[in-house]
Amino acid sequence: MNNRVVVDNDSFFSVVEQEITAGNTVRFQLKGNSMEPFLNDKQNILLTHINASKTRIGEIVLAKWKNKYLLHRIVYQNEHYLYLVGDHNLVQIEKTRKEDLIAIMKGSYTADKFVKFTHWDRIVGISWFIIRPLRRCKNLITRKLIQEKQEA
Amino acid sequence: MKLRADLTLRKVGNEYFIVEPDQGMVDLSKVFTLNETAAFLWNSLQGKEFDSQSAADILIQEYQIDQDTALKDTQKILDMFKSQSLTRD
Repeated sequence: MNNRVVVDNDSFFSVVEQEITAGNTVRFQLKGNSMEPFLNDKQNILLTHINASKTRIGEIVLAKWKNKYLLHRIVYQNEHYLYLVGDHNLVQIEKTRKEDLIAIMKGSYTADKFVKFTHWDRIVGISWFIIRPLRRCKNLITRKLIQEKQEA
Repeated sequence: MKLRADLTLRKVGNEYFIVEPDQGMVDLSKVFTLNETAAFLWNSLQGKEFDSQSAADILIQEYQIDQDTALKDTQKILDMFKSQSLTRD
């Protein structure tokens, strides 16, 4: 069964949510680059249910935010809220209620081989977030250099 | 023949697709799409023993089409079901 289906994000994730609620784990193909450099466009990932009290910083989760679905990394959490970030993003942090958490990423697939998400992946991911100001500076400098090159 | 009972039909937006849960895992990267007529037939034939004629009768009743058209459409849909191993004898 391999006919390619293109559906809008929200409809698709509502099915993912139904399957997770039904107790299934769900494999699907990512669309977009918001989690680069750790997850790439068209990469397959595996999601499973998680209790909101068991989330840890650095984990990648599927949650609802402003009536949309996000697959982003937890960078901070307190009793009631999760603070999520797309690894590719340099500015935005999404604050969402813990009851809007749907699933956690168990791992990803590289060349159809399952690679489990580990404690090390959490550390690397959160470190990537901590150096966000440096990444922003590098981005600014690169942009400026390109601009100067174009003007010259 | 019968439809495989382990498959699930889902509606996503305007699309219908069949997913195959395997030991508690649903692979949404591999799905099979159905049009509205095929999805209607899929729902109507759930859990029933059927052949081309009995499936065509369902389409005639629902869409008020003639026998020949219904049989032709049904055959196309059932051939597709069979080719994708969505049925069992």
